[in-house]
Amino acid sequence: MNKRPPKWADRLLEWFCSEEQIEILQGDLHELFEWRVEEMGIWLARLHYIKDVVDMLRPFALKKKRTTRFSNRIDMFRNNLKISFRSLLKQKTNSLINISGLALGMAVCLLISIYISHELDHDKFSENYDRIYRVTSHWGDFSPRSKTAMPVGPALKQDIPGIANSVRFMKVLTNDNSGIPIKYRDKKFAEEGLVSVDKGFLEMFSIEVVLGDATSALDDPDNIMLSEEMADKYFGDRNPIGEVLRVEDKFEMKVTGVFKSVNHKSHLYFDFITPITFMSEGRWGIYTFTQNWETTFGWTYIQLEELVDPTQVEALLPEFVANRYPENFGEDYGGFELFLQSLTDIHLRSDYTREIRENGDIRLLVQMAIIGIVILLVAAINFINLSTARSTLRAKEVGVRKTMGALKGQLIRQFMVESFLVTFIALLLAIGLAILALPRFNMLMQKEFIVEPAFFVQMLANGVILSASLAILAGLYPAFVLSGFQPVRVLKGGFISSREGGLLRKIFTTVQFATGIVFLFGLYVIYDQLQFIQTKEIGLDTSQVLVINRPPQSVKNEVIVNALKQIPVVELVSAAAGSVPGYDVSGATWSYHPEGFPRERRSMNTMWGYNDVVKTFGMEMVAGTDFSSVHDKDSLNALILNASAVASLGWTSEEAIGKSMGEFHWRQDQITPGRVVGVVKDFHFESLHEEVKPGVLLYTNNDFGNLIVKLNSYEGSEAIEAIEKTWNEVLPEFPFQVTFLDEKVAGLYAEEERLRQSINYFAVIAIFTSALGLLGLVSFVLMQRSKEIGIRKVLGAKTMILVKTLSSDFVRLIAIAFLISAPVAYYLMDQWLAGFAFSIDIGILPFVFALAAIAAICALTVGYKALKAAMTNPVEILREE
Amino acid sequence: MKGTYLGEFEEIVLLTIGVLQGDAYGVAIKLEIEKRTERKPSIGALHSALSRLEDKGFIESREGGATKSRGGRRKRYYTITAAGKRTLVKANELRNELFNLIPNLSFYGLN
Repeated sequence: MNKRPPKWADRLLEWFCSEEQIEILQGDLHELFEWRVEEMGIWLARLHYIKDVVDMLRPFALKKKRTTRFSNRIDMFRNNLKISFRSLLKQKTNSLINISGLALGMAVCLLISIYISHELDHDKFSENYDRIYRVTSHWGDFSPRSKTAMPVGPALKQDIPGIANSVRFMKVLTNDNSGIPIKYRDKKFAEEGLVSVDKGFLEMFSIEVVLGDATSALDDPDNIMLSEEMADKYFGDRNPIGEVLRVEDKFEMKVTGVFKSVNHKSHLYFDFITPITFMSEGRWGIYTFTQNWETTFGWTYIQLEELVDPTQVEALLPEFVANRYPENFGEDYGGFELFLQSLTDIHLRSDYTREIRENGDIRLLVQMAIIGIVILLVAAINFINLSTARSTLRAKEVGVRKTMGALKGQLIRQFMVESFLVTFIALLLAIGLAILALPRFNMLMQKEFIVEPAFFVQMLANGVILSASLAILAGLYPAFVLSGFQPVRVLKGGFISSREGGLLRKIFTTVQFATGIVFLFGLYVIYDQLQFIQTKEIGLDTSQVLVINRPPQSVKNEVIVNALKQIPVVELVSAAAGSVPGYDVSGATWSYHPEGFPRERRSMNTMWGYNDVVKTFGMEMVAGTDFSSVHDKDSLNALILNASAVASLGWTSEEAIGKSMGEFHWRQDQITPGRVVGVVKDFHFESLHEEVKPGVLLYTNNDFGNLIVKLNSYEGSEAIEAIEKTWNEVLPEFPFQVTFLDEKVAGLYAEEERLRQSINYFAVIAIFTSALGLLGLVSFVLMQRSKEIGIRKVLGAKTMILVKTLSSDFVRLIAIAFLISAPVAYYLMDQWLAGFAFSIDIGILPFVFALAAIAAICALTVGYKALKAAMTNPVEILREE
Repeated sequence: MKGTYLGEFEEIVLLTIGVLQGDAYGVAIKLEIEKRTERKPSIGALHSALSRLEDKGFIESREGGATKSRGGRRKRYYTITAAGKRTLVKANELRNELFNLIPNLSFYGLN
């Protein structure tokens, strides 16, 4: 029998073991092997042999060659780095332009990348986010609704297998969607973040409870939990547990827990949590919703068991609707269905009606990403342009290196190291810039990023990836160009034309100009449209009008109105609810039975108003009268139509007066009677994104959503003080919240205003970067042509003619850039304007503006440099020859 | 030169080399250690220690003649250098010194 150790183990040893050691080590191993064969037999000996060979993988035994190769590489790298620093320092302006341009572009990209990843991470803090779904209601062709009827959740869990848990989430708000007053001792605020949820809520969404017992905190209908911010707001340093909050001036609620707010990273919005029993056990009086299948009171979330396919659950929903919902439910609307929506889709991809709050928009993310890439592109182009342009200066160095035996690969490595060095210096600057710009960025994006370790780490991670890819992408081309020089040609001292790679450089510069033009064009159009919106007649006089939030209870209505009227600066007082201009009107559309249209149902924007409502809002009467107490008992049924409503019914304004129009009810005998007493000119309930729709003003003397106060002087702050004093005398238990109507209406365009500001910044950055690049490029081109300029001057060329010759190239580039970018810019802005029902025509001015601005910037950079070159004494340049 | 600190296993190897008196090569040292102590060092660990000891200058080596049992490969014999001997003596002295400093009392305590 062959008593030898396994051959492959020997070969392995020979492969990794150093040559000086192999004989001795292998000898020892073999001797041991032979000894072991005697002791324990061939098989065990072999096993031990293999073990020993593997065990021999220790530093002392390994081949040393590899490390020597490595150290050479380190030395080369060190040398590359040193040369890179020297070449950066040698051309300070060039490096400065290059690095600052890159840093600016990267800073923008970093902020945008942080924003995008924050948006994409929404709702992912919940441990089981991939198993949580929202149940949504769909009526025929109507846009789907994010809410569901309240019995749905528990019933789903009963009927459909695979559902681990279901949770209902209800917002507790006043009738007109404003905050609920919450009071603790002398502190009272109207709170919009009060919700009622099922007990499993905390667990399903992994809400972190910092104080109190998560399992029992929502056991009692009188329990309330609040966020850390709210605990601080109401209780300061005191321990909130066990304290009592007075909600809605009715309910004494015991604080049982404090949780960490998730409002900044979730589609959910809540500051106070109460158990669902708070709403359901008759406390709220009006809502008997637990058995109501017809109205969508809140949101329903289900968590599936692990490995359950949501499509299978969804497939069971039609049967569920048929079994549980009232018969023929939703038939009037073209059928009714329930669907599931994945939790992670809600924030960015859902624009259902009645969302908990305004969601993000995936399109905005894409837009931001594109803007970031464009700005980075502009910066990267600078980098490439400057590096290749610089080639003329490096040509001799390359020639000498090649003659000394440098390989192309080594040269490429050298230039790549330079490229990395530049981008990483830029990255450090960019992080600094980004941190400085953060407060402004937060304002623009309505986010609350703060500089904390996690934020910094993420920024650094994003930044390193960004700068590395930039270094490779932007560095590769120059590296290949530079390393490709023929040593004989460059060392002969021959003329190296900067025109090599000139075409590419021209294309790049054109792209930069084109980007600048698009931004400038967009800026002009957005600015113009906002100007148009702010000055457009909206059928209301919004100046000097105050809107005061009213508590939902109709106590002391007349008292407060009369008390306010006593204040000297107050001219008129009225009240309004529903579709009040400047407020969210999506919920305030009601249906009516107008006279002469017996079987028809007309849906109209509805606003409730008190005496003098038309006058107080500054609307214009076309016919009939304003609401007033003069109508006496009739007044309760009085209503005022807007011109669009009258037109849609085919009436004239005069015909309309006296017509009856009942509020729709599915039971004929329950139709509330109504009689038209007046017609007003159209006014804008909503923003100018929307056409003016048919609208109704209904008289009310009890349901005051807001008090509307018209002032007769411009002493706003004094008036507010006087009003607050009166308020506190009449309604001391309710918080006083006031806004100016014109601010409220302007708030409808907050998004546009933010867009204008961001485009402003982006345009400045893009143009500034392009200008920097241009400056660098022009200086190189002129340096190249300095001899030509000298000779021309000697031969008698005039300065101005020289400037013209030198800048003509760039003029052509601008022209080409304009031809390319103008249609793009026009298309983009036209799309944007299509979102408004009322918009400006683009016309010729934005084109002129964009072109003129770009031309001016170029003229400044190119002209300055060209003039300087043209004015140099030719002797200075030519004496070297 | 690396530090002259003597590890515990290194000390045993060094002592064993002394014990074997000029007949100390890899396998012999390993078997001797196995015989006199409880432990079974792997040949790799042993050679690793030997190379460290040589680096520290405590032992030197020479290559001996080829033997049949090793497939004609040579052995490397190790001997203790003067520095190695000094270190051993010092380590031993230190140990005794410390040992003598322990009062009897604490031995009672240990029992």
